[in-house]
Amino acid sequence: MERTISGMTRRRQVAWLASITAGLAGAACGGDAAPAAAPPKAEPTKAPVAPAPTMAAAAPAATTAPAVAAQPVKVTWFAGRDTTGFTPKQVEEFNKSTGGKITIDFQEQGQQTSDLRDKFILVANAKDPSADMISMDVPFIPEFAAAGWTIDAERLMTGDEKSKFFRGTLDGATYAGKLFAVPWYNNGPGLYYRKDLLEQGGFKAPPKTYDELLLQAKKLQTSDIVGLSAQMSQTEGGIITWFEYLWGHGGDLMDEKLEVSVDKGTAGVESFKRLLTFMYTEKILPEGSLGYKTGADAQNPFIEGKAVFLRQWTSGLTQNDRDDSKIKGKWDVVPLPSLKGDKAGAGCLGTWNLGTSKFSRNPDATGEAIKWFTSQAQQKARYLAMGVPPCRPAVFDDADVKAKYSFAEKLKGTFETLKPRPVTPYYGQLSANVIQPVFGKVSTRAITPEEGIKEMADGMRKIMKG
Amino acid sequence: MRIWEDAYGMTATTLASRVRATVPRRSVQVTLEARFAAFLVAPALLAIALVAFYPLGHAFWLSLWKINLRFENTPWVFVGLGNYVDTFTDDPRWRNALRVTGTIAFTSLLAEFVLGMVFALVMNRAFRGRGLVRAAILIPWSLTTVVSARMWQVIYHASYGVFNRMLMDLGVIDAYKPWIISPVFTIWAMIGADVWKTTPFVALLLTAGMQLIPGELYEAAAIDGATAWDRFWRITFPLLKPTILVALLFRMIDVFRMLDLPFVLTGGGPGQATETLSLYTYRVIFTDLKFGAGSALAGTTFLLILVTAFVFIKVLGAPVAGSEVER
Repeated sequence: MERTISGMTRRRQVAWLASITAGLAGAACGGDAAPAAAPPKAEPTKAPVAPAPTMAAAAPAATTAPAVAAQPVKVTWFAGRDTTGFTPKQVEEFNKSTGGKITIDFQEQGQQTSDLRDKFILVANAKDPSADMISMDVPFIPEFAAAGWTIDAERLMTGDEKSKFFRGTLDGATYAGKLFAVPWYNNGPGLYYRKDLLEQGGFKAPPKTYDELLLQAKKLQTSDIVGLSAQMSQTEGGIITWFEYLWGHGGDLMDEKLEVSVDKGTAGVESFKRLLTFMYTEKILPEGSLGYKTGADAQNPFIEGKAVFLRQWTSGLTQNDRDDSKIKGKWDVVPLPSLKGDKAGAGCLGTWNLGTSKFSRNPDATGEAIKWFTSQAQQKARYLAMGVPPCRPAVFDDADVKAKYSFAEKLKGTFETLKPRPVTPYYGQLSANVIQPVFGKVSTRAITPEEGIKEMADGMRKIMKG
Repeated sequence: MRIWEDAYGMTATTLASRVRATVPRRSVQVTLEARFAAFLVAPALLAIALVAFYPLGHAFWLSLWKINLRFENTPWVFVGLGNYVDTFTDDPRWRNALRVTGTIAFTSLLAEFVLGMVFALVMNRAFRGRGLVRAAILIPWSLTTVVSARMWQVIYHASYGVFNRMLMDLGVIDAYKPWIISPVFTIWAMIGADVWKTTPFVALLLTAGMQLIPGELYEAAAIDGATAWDRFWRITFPLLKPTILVALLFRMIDVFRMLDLPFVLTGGGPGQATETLSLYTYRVIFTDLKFGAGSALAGTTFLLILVTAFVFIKVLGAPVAGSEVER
């Protein structure tokens, strides 16, 4: 017992230091979650459009902006990554069009869809007004609506406006009978293929069935060119690749009553087995595709001329003709193959929508911006510039569009048949906690398809119980 | 003074007794001076209370509730220690995360300690270009983890990673492998990245410890005819023991907090093969919005760190603070 701090015995001193050391570490690893968890237990629901009094006081220009217009109203847009750089240009144009009344602050929130979701969840949980407008993937709609983080978009759809959108895109943006966002751009998958290679190989038509796909891919692939490229990573995009095979085998994650049905029948196991066969037995799908985290990752080999077939969103079509492409004029696109080939394979609905955060201080200005971006003129501009398909059928009939995209007519039909992912507020959790990890385990052969389907069904049921 | 006797052992009894002689006897009365000292440290203690103990207490409070912010206006339900019971009895994902964290803690620390000791011995020697070598060794530590994780992602890349290329050239593999998407290899790939990043930290601490060892001990040993190995094993190693324990303790705590590396490098995958305790906790809180259950997980991790720190400090005698004063 020699030197001590403030008369503490060495024994106490040691224990004290131990607890501080651990305390700091503990605080750093989990404790800092605490301040964010502070919201009161049962806050009365406020009328969605009217911000809380304190908020209004803090932002006087909020709702009456167009009339007062002393200060421009800033609308912060939480968006996904735009690799083409077109959206920022559109934002500039919008800012000019309002005559300085509304300016959009365009903020990309990361490369993957989950990055954007995580970021908005963080902000919405803190009831923070730093996000006004949010780009929303289909599963965000029920999730955010049920949590009370977005306000409904019925106000933006007056008159017969709704009839001017694809029915499916509106369904995807609806929760509990109310529209929560406006469809902004459309997306669905296609099977891209190399016309020249198929001709050389003597195939008259692209594959209509999974077996034909396998046959052609295997025949045409070389040591340098893979048969098939697709996003297979443990991400939302990766599990969508599998969903399409699951649907193609007649299965589904949930039935109409939103009861877990992935383990009913054999579709789950068979669809996994087909992908595993493609990857490990027949080797038409490279193991490297397990690392493709974005659609662009899967498309790059195709653009470089190193893939015969590609499952990719149709929003990527124009990339095939970009300046450094090695396959200009050598490609085409068809609907996905199916099990029997009698009809096109089911593709996943990948619409993106624009919604308004409930904690926005400028919901009216945000509404104006949403209307502008989802207008026919802007959807057309976006389609022409980026190749991102519109949510309004009329755009496909536009003369400029027809002139630029020979495939536009063909695409229009595929958007009528796209299938949404389960419309439940639990989807985000189901995907992140169960479906993605199980997909990761099965696709890397850590577990068998049978074990995977069982683990997935059990895990999903557990989450649905709450 | 048990620690010091242990540390100096038989080789340094004289030094130990010299130290003991200089240490003043403990004063029995609580003097005015002591009160004044307490007054002086009060602001620091207050700061610690605010940044460490308050969040800790609040997190514990939250861990007693079932809180799901997934749905609007869901009431909080008080469940007492229920969240902890669930974690221990019915949470395979937690057990998996514990196993992952444990594997990293054991292998990472072992590798870092061995490599760190080698680097420290190199850095501690006087030779031309020592500054350059020291700087080179420290570069990995100075990089932000997110940056180095991104870098390793590229190194391990399945189609163009340099790691694949090296193994191909060496003839170890016959085709490129997706190293960070494999249920077998991923955790080792991640441990490799972690060892690369944090070995310099261990080396730095060990070098600092080595520089405190009086040179005359080595001179005396050399005169007595001790070999290089003897000098290391009987002088460097025992005198370095307190520093080693501190370095290992800090690293151990770091492993429990490990979030950024798996977050960026592997996302915890494939499946949950590299999901650490912190990453799991983060996800439960921030993406599932289960603040109660997540706080209980954080509390559990805190307990594990507390026990670890206690064992290191109390049982093994790591001088986290206090002993330095005696030097």
